[in-house]
Parts: sequence; structure tokens; C-alpha cells
Amino acid sequence: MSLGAGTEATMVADADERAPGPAPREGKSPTQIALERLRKDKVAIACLFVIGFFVLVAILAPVLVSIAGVDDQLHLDQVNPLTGLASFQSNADHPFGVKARTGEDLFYQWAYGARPSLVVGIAASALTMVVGVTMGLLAGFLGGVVDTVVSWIVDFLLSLPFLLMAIGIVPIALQRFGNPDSSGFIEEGRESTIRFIVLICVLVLFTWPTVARLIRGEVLSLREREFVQAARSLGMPTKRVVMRELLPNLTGPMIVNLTILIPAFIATEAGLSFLGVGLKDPTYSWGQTISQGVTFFDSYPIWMWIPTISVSLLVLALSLFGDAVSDAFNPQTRR
Amino acid sequence: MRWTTVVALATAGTLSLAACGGSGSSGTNSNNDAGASNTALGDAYEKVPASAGQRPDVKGPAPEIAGAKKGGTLTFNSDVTPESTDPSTQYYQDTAAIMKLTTRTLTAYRMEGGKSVLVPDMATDLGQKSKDGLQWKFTLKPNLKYDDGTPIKASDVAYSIKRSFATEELPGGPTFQIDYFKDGDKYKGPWKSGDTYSGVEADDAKGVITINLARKFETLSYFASFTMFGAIPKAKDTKTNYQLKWAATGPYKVQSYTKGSSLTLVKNTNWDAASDPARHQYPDTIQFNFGKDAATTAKAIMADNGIDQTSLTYDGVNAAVLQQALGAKRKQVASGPSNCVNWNGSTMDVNKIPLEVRKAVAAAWPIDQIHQAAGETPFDYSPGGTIGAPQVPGFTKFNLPEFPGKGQGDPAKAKAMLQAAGKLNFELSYYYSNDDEAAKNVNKVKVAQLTKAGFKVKAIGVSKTERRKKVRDPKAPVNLGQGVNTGWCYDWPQGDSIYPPLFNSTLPNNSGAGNIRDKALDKEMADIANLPVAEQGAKWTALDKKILQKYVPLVPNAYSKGSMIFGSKVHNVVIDPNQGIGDFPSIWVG
Repeated sequence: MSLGAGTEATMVADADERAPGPAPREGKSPTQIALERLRKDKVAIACLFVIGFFVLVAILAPVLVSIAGVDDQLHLDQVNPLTGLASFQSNADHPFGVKARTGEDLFYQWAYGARPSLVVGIAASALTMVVGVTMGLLAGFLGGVVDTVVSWIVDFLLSLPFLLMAIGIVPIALQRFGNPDSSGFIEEGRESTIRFIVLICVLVLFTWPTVARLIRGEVLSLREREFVQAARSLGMPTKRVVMRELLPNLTGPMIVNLTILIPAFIATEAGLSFLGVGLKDPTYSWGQTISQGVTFFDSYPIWMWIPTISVSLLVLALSLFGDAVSDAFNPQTRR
Repeated sequence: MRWTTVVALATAGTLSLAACGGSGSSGTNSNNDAGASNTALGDAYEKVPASAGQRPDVKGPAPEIAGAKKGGTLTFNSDVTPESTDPSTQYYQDTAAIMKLTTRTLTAYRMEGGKSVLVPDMATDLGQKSKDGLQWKFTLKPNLKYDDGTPIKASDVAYSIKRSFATEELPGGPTFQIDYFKDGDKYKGPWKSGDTYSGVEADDAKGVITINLARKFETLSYFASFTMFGAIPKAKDTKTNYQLKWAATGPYKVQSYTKGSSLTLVKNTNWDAASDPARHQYPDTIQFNFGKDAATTAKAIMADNGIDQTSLTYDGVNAAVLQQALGAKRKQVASGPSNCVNWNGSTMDVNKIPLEVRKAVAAAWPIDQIHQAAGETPFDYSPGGTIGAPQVPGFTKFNLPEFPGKGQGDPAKAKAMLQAAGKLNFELSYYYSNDDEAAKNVNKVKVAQLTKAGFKVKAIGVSKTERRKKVRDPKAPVNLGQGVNTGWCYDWPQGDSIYPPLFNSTLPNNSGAGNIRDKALDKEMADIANLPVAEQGAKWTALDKKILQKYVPLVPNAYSKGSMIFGSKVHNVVIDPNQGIGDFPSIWVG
């Protein structure tokens, strides 16, 4: 048996599978086994459908709004000027109702609101993984000064209060990168793009240390294992050891982490936007819609319910799916 | 006068920082920030007769209110925490209303039906003016006492006035005394400049307070109703801590006060009802709770159970109870004109925007849409049309065709006007708060309408705090919505408290409205202010019209209203149109 990718984990998994079952399996990669397990997990499949639905909404937002025949303009005539509320919760013209006072369509904001949630969630977690895994690998494998420095940075970043920093960094970044003219004017689109990027950066900045720490731990235990020792004693270059021996064995924790991070980031984005430091007009986001709808929850509940349910459902689906993935990749799992 | 530190613009969910006041030259005036207001008393609002302004002959006691019962506890809940409760610095609607319960002043407003008239309070009349108008004498009524039974002396009143000059130790109060009183700019209060001040003198034997002026101050009688014209015993003055425990002269005294959270008032047995024409003493205890969530308070009061039956709030009508307030619970709302007039960010810099363009802006201005987008309801405003408020004695409400004070604006007409002037795509720039939902909504409405009318709109989003600074920045590179941009609340019901602080050419840039630089207008305003009070109203009306037509410095949007909601066992809640808040001493429970 050659010491190929992920062999170690396969051997463990095979040993586990073999013990109770009579029919021994042919050699399969851990990923194949995991996928097979996932396919049999009903919850995971259901979650996939939910996630797929929201991804479709995000991708097809322009199509959906044109089918529904709604736009992003003010419709002051749709609301009663006395109470500021529409007389309907939902009708054919505005399936998810309209905002109080300005009469802006909520279906439009919901459909487009799916985009930042998913983009932020996926982009930020992918970036977090890249940075976190790289730093973790470096620290764990190289050790010595590199480990000390990285660990120090990790500890330092983890000691910073996330919410406070997030609230502080956004306006500073806007000033620095917004290129305001002499009157402080920043074009609307530009401002929201900056907010978007800053939000992703802030999320990555404060989350990669957790990932790095975890990966470092894994690497520390892996690098003393026989197959790594063997590869080294055979004179394999460090780069190759890391890429061919260590990384494949980290696939499990990485995927599990990714599936945990995505829902966490979506929830955080909604939370920050709710607090007013996240995304802003003209970028719609569910967090914003929720924060605006809260005031009218008594008299116009649909405003808050739709984005709240959407974000909860998406986060729940992603989390459950993450659990399923984690279970599937964990050789110790028995269901 | 400033609005309650932050009057909850209930519906908007935004709190509007209110404001008013300020003197002609010192530039201490403030502006109200999001524009709040209240419901009219029907016709009475627009037809307050000139004679209702002052009644120097009124004697105490205040006429009994029909059916009023004594006893019980009245509870006020408010989201707003009062600024300093030091009598020398009181400048907010809420503190003024609260302190009317504890602190008597030389003159005071009293409610007569829906009108608010100025009557003598501690003084025997509204002040005796010398021939040249530069010396005023107020005589104290005999046998006035503090809550501990010691007599109130003329020198105590003089001391209280002198304290108000100590703007360094006690900042934030009105500054008219510094502008108008003799050597007012040199005297720095009793702690820095000593007790002797030529502007204010007292004769304890005769009970006379003499005020010497640097220039004529025809409306001093009104100014004398501020709590700085109360009495402070020098021996008990604890300087900056005096706001925590102040000597009472009114029908109630402080039992306990925790700054920022609660104030308990109980009956002052040494108060002499017979000498006080402006106050009653009905409830046994009056409890104030501050920092209470406005929506929760409003819902509880409308639910009307237990202690909430005898509770009320001056936070306005919260959006959470708007439906009830308009319908079934209509009787639990008091609403009436306030001293504020709104123009919702329409101040135009006359030096940067040409006259034809200003007229086009006025034609396009989306008044109704702004009200709707800001969440202002009939409890907050009634249609406007003038810079001055209609309840100012002698003022005649009018509507110029180009300033209807209501309606949706006419972008097509504005565009034609712009085209005719060859100014199509003229750039209008202004700041708006991008961290406030109501302000963002209002901005969307403005951008949509003004763009439709052929303007190029540059709306600069900044935080609320930053905007407050930027609109006063004399060098701000924008041309719309600067200075006193949201509206003005007068300090007393006469034009000298409205026009000079807004349009005087000596004001620093962006401290008034429109930055009008016209010496002739200055003189005209000074001349009217020097007329006897009774003759001023009509002249101010004419001037109001002239300013609007000749300069078009702003677009009047609405007259503000003050609103209160109260439990079913609270009675006689009436909004004082000169204060924009209820007259607390006339409220009874039972």
C-alpha cells in the first residue's frame, strides 16, 4: 500500500467499518465515504434543498422581481399618510407588503437581500479558511519563531472585542477609502461597496485566529505521525510534505469549519446590519430590513417576519448541514 | 426654548432634538433636528387674539378647575432624561414644565381655555418700565415663602438672575440677559465677578428688583418667566450641585431626586395659593420616572391598568399606539399647538442659490411626502405657511400662493421655472443623517422629487452627530438645509424671539436661516422690536410676508404641535401653546 493522499484516515475508517459489518469494503477515499454517508442523511438532503432555494433566490433575484412586477421606487400612495402603514399585509402587487411611510416594496428587498447574506457568508468564510489554514500550517509545522509570532498574533486578535472593533473600523475605512470630496460626499454605490468589503475584512480578521489555532493543533499532532516522519526521512521537500501529507489529512476539519463559519457569518452580517454598522442602502440586506421592521412589528408583522424567517431558516439549514458534514467526515461517528 | 432634550418623535421612532431659542447676536440658538410637533385645538389655534398675550392685572389664586379633585399620585413616565435642573440654566421644554411645579418666577404663563397668557407670578405686575425703556422694576408680592418657611427676599431673586451669568460654571442656559442687560458681557456671575452687578439690583426692604438694560428689551416681561427669575437663597446655594436639591417656592417641593432616573415631588405647605394666579395643587405626590422606553410607556398607558390609569407621558404619541390614539382611545390624548414652526431642511443659502432657483425649490418642495416619510402624524403638525407661529399675539396667519404650507409640490412647474431661468440641473447639496431611518426616508423623498423637478441633487450622508456640527459649519460647501434648518421654536410669543435670531445679518454664516445679509432688514427688525409689545404683532406679520417673498430663505412646512397621552384617571391635560408641552400644575387625578 502506497502512502497516498489521506491513506492514514482511510485505514482508520476502514478499520471502524470493518469491525461490525461482515462485508469488508474496497478502499475508498474518506471523501467518498463521507459523501456516501451524506447521501443517506435525510436531514442533510433537506438542508441542501433549503440552501439551494436561497442560492437560487439570490442568483435569480432580477428575474424574480420582474416576474413579481415590483421595483425599488418609492410608492408613497400605497400607504395611509395618517398611520404611515399600508392597508394590506400582502397583495398581488406587493406579495411581501411594502415598507411603512415610503411604500418601498419588500419583496424586492427580500430577493436582493439574499445576495449579501450568501456572498458575505461564503466569501468571508472561504477567505477565513485560506488565511487561517495557511497560518495554522506554518505555525504548526515550522514551529520555533514562526509559531511564537503567529500564536502571539492569534492571541492578540482574539483578545480584541469584536463588536466594538467592527463598529469602530467601518467609519474609519469609509474615510480612508471612500475618497470623499471636500464636502464629505461619497457616492452612494461606492459607499455601500466599501461597507461590503470592510464587512468581509472585519469578519475574516477576527475569525481566522480561531481557525489557525485549531489547524495548528491538528498539525502539531500530525507532524509527529509515522507517515510524516517517513516522508521526511526519505527527504521529501517541506512544501511537498505539507501539500501531500498534511493538507489532505486536514480536509475533514476544514470542511467542518467551513460549514460552521458560513451560517455564523450570515447571522453576524444580519446582526451588524441590524446594528447599523453592516450593510446600508442601496445594498439591501435582511438584517437591515429586520431592524427597520421591528418598530412596526405590532401593526405590520410581515415586514419583520419574512427576513427573520429567511435568515433563521438559512442559518439553521447551513448549521444542520454542517453537522451532517462533520458527522460524515468523522470516522468515529455512529448513527 | 429648546424642545425637551429629545422629544420623542414618536412615530418616527426617531427622537427629534428640539430647539429653539437663542438670542440675536450671540448665536446660541439651536435648531430642532428631525421636526416634531402636535394636534391643533381646532380653530382656537389660529384665532388667538392679540389681547391674550399679557394680563398684568391678574391676581391669585388661580380659578378652580371645575370638578377637580385633590389628592392621589400623578406619575409621569418619559424616555427623556432632563438636562440640568438648575433653575439658572433651564432651557428645555420638559425641565421648564417640571420646574413650573416647584419654582415660582416673576411672571408666568397660565392657561385660559386653549390660550396661554402671561400673568404676574411672584411680582405684583409684569414689570414697570422707565421712560427710556432701559430700566425695569419688579415688586415682589408680600409674604412669599420658601418650602422651609423662610421668607423670599428681593435679593434672592437678584441672586438667581446673577447666577445665570455664570455660563462657565453653569452652561447651557438662555443668554438673553448677557445681550440685553447692562454690562452683561462683562459680568461673569457671583462666583467670578462678585455679588455687585449694575445690571441687577435689589431692595429687600421694599421688595423691589431693578434691572438695568444696555438696550431696549420690550419683551422682558416674557423673559421673566424663565426659572432664572425665580428665587435662590444664597446661603443654600450649592453651586453646580444645586440642581440636585433646589429650594421650592411653588406648590410642590422636592422629596427626592435621582438625576437621570426619578424625581418625587410632594406638596409644599408653605406655598400660598392666594398669591399664585398660575398654579394649582391637586395631587398629593407627583412622581417623574425618566429613561423609560417610550413605546412601552405608551402601550401601558393605553392599556390603562392599575398605576397606568394615573400615569401620563410627554413623549408624544408613539407609533406603537397611533392606531388607538386615532380611534378608540382618542380621549386619552391631548394635543395642541407648540411654539415651534417647521421647515424640514429647506433653508436655502441666499448667497449660493439664485432667487429664481430658490423659488423653483419652493414650488417643488414635497411637504406632504416629507411628513409621511418622517412618520409625522396629525399629532405632530398642522399645515404651515409662515415663519412665525400663528398663536403669537397680534400675528395674523396667512398663506402666500407660493407657500401653501401643505401639498405635494409641483415638480413640473418647478422644472418650467428652472428652464425659464436657464438653470436646469442646478446642483442642490445638503447633509442628511444616514444613521436615522426617518431622515433616510425623508432624503429619499427629497431626492426623488427634486431630481424630477430638474435639479441635480447631491445628498451627503453623515452621522447624526456629525450632521449637527456640519449644518453649523460656516464654511460648509453645501447650499441647502444649513443653519437653523429644521425649524424654530420661539422663546416667548413675540417676533423679536423669532426673526432677528434667524435673519440678522450679524449672525455668523449658517447660524440663522438663509444667511441673509441685509442691513436694511436688520434695521427694520430692530425698529419693530423697539415698539410696545401690543403693537408688534401686525408689523411682524408684514415682515414675515416680506421675508418670504423677497428672500425665499426657506419653505415653511408646518406648525408643530405638542402631544401627551394619559391614563383614564388623569384629567385636564392641556397643551400650553407657548411651551409645546402640558401645563403640569393644572392636572388632577381621580
